[in-house]
Amino acid sequence: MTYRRLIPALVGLVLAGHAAAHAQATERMVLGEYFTATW
Amino acid sequence: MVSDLIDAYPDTFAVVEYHVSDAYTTPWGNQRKIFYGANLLPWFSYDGLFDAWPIETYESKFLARQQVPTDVGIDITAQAIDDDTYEFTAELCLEPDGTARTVRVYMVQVLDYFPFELSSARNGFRQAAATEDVQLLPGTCETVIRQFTFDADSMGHQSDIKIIAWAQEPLNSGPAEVHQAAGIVWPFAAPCPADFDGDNDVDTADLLHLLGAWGTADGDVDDDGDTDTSDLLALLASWGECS
Repeated sequence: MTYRRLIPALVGLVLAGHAAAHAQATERMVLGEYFTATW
Repeated sequence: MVSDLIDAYPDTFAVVEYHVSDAYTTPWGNQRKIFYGANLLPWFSYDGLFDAWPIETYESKFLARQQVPTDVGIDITAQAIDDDTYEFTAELCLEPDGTARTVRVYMVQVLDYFPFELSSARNGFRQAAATEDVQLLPGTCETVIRQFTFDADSMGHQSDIKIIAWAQEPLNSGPAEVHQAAGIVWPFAAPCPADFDGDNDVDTADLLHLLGAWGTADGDVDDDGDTDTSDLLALLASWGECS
């Protein structure tokens, strides 16, 4: 396959991956607030 | 144990450590202690909802909470203002099928392994920006922009600087649910050579720029003076937000 034919295929692949990534549910990052003291 | 969790879950657990009732106490940390009524130390608030004590349940409670779905996303980006001052943009987005709500957006700077004198210290609180209440509507995004100037302790340990942001129910005391948190670590503005249009991501616009510059030096990602397949592969490898 020549580069000229390879590039559109790669472009399609990237766009499909991009759309799939955006379709995923938002992942939660948990906030931990740790209160401590030196004893 | 807290240290183990920070190391084990760097992408899903954002921890801020406040010292209270000792030489490292800060007014802002004290306010948060009062907010939660955290009178018995240690107190480990998870998403503003509960104290995770006892210590042997810290991890299981984190894992359970992390599985709870959320409809809020936060993405933090940074821009250098000068050597020790950076501007941080927190972009908050509500999913299209999410629930419209107002959240209070917090942004703080922590310094890992601070206070230096304490061997177990992690993500020690250093400073907080003013909070902002933001109304989120389904399918839309809002931004909160804050600047932090880092003190000498932080600049002496730059690689340990982290910014943590979160979106919390706008209440005057806990429990107050945190819908999402996010963090960004030093170096904040990593090189992103494939971001040709400078909008802090590598996307279709950058790909089209590279294709249009094929054979010239204008789409050079790998710094070898031309635009060829290796640049295209480098661009694809860095696809998405600049980190």
